[in-house]
Amino acid sequence: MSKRRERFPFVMRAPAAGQASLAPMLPFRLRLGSREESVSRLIDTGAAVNVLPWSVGERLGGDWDAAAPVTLTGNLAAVEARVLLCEGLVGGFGPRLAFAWSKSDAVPVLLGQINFLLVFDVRLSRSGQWFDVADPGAIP
Amino acid sequence: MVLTDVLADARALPRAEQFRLIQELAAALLRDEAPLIEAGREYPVWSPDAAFGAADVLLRSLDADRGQS
Repeated sequence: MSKRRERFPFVMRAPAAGQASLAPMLPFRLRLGSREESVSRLIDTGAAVNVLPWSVGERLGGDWDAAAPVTLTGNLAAVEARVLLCEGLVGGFGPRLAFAWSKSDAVPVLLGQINFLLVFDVRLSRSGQWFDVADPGAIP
Repeated sequence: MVLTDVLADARALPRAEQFRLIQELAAALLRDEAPLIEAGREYPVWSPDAAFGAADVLLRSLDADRGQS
């Protein structure tokens, strides 16, 4: 099977801030059982883990009480978080993703090293305002 | 115009004007960069950049999940 690669534009997160607010926001759907949620998520190479806000995990039907706890760092150090596994659907891709599901809606959705950047290769061009998401090894 | 020509011209200026040239250039550079990072504004950084324990728990959860399916 040939390896897949899709290109997306950078998105202006705060129109008032103009070009300064451009960021690699990936449009995505999350699926857990029969429930799906559409989200736009920030690809964050500085994040050790994927992060999910409380309300998104709740709408997906995540079971907070049954989930294993995880400890976050930085601005998120004071935020309680637990593991949530779900399918991530973007274009023709649908890998299993693991999130640190936080008990706060003040946090954005982050796509970090574990495990988004483990299951996808990403190439960014801030100057060109695009980014590619691909199967591992599909970007030369 | 190339840098070597500009430098030669700059060196020919009186000392006071050389200082003014430095100030003008520094001010112009600051003006260019000001819209990107503004003094006094808050820039939250959410990245849990060293949450390696959490990363390990997620990896183990994925492994366990694969074992069940």
